Amino acid sequence: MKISIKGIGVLGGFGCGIGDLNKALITGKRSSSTMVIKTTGGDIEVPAFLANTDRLKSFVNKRDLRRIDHYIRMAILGCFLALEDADMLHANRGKMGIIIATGYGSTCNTFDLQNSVITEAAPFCSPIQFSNSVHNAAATYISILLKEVGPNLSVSHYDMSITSAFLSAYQWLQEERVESVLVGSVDEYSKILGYFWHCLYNKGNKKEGFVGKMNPEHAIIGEGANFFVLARENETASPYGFIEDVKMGNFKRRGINLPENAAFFLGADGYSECDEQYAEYIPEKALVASYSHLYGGLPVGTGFDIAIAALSNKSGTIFKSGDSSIFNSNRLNVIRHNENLGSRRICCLKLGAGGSYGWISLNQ
Amino acid sequence: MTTQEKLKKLIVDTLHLEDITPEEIEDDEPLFGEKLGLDSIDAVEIVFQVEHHFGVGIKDMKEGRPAMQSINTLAAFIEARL
Repeated sequence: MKISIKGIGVLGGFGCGIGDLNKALITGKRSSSTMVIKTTGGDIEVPAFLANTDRLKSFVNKRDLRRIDHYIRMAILGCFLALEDADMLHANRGKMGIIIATGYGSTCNTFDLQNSVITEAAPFCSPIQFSNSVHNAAATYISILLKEVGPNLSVSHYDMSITSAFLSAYQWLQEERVESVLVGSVDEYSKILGYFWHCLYNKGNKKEGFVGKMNPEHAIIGEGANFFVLARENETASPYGFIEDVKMGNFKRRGINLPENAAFFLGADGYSECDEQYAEYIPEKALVASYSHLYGGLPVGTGFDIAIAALSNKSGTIFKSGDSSIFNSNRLNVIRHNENLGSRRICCLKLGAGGSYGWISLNQ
Repeated sequence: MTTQEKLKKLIVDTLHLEDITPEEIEDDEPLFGEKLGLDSIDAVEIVFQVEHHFGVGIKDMKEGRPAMQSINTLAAFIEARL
């Protein structure tokens, strides 16, 4: 069964919307912010790719957003952008499922909540803050705002979250449980992540025996959301192409079976010790690229790679990769200039924590 | 600052009412009426914030319903227990 991509909604350090992502792929333009974190040892500065949710006001009225924090706003905006791109914002959507993946969850809100409980003389807990801290809060707000009553699922599987979500979406559509699925992922920058980055990756703050495995030149914290409207191919075709297959497993135990005649978009983001292992598994001469220089490092980065693969299908072009030194290998055939996609499929591959892997292949 | 003024600021800030200022809330207008448009989740948040900022607990619906009619009734409830 083929699953077509009807619409895409993305936001991150590259901008807001699939058009901004397309521009960033062509120009390499993205906007990195410097975040200042106050610590007992003084202020520290951390680079991050942040997402702007101002456009959400054009979809949802201010009053309905008042209890909704930045993390959930990113998810909602991603959903509305995807529906707008699919021309389904005001249409009768039929029975639609919603699946939201996240690696970290609502970290800012959750850490603030924990902080208030730990530091107050009498532990207090804001009901609104608590309700927003649970993992399915984003999915709930989306269902409410879209008035959707179909199945609703929140998935958290660290850096395999988006692949896991796509696997469920694929299954729902195959079982004809729904007519379409709004599936995507979201993760946010938080002070805790910033402090973590400072401790482990900052050049002047190396901890022996750990930083050597990482790549501080590339590990920039990213945040954002990426959402997709999926439907069965026989119901509707799409210029973005279709999802051909979704696979997950453990490469340390069983290796990886990768699709043939594919270009590979690798989820290397400078954070994972797996970044250097891609070279062991990619077929010789296969074209590879990494685009984390546009969206940063975040557990759900593969979602942006899927969006980029869809843009490649639409334009017939494989966009040039970010800095190839991220792979630390001469064996890989990194795409240094835009190339014709030809008849290739695209495989978005992520090697993750504990030997886990996930890939999603797209074809035209 | 009077208890009423403190409550208005508290409600606007903690319930994130960006489209209204504390001064625009009238002392006797219903908190859960059309103008403010607060709902049951806001009511739970107000109970929490009143206990957090004034140290006054609203124990149940029996106490809460009459106390949260307006800014004036809530202020009177708090002042009677301070």
